[in-house]
Amino acid sequence: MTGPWMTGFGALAVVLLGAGTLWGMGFAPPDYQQGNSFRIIYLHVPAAILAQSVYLFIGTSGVLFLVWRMKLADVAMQAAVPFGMSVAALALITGGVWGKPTWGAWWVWDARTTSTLVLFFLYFGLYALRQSIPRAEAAGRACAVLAIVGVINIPIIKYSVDWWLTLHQTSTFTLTERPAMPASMWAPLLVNVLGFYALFGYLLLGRMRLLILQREERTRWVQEHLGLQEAP
Amino acid sequence: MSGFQFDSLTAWLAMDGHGPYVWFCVVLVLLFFGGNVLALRLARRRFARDAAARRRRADARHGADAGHGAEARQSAQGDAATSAAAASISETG
Repeated sequence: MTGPWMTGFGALAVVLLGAGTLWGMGFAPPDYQQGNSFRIIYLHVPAAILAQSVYLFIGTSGVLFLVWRMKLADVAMQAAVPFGMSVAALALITGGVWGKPTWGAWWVWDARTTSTLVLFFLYFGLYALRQSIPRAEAAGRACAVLAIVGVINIPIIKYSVDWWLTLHQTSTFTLTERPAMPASMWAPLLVNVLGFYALFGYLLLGRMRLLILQREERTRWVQEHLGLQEAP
Repeated sequence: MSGFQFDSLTAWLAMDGHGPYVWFCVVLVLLFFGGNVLALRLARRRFARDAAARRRRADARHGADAGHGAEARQSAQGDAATSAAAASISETG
């Protein structure tokens, strides 16, 4: 059943990421102050947005697993971690590369970069914790607790630019206001954000399916699905 | 939509000196995303192979318990099972 969804998300990701990146790198106008280094925004901002929303997804799954004992929520939590860790690392690295021509430094202990680094460590913690506990049920509970506690970092990242004096600009997209930049600049950014979400959908479904097959390997339906046993 | 912002491919690659920063990020994102997709595909293939091997071992144990030299038959069935599992898991995505 996940097959068509995965195909859809995969195709959407390729189209949106290809179009958004090409548009941002070649057709969007350069920034009047930063010049062309500004084009890193088309990769850095989607990575940062996804790093936070994937963590929120993991935290929500953690609540569903702890409160309602939904096994699927634990699977979703486990499946989302590798992509979340990847986009958090991408946000940090692309931010550093953007910082060099813009701020004159690869890294600054700015409130937003530091809280995003904490987010990366939280992802790493979730991954390591899962690997260190052999029993799936116990590993799920421990990861859910860590995920829920770590959600406190998300508003810190989001409002860090308002609460503290930082080098970062304020949010590019908000739900209530028009973006400060012209449409020719923010439209490719929006396309890439959607492309990142589509890729997340593809990878999440793929990993969830694999984890379910691994967890239920001994059951008849998985054996039949794998072609290792004939249906009665 | 604004038109193409550069006069030539060389100018696009150079981006007034910012090219190395920008293109490094593009390549990095491609590598990370390609790595994620590839890792998923490899894990799926490895699981199909390992599940078939585990099934083969379990069947062989069961066959040895049952006697009648079933091992050879199980081994032949096992090879077919490995192919079937790999095919089944790749068919579904």
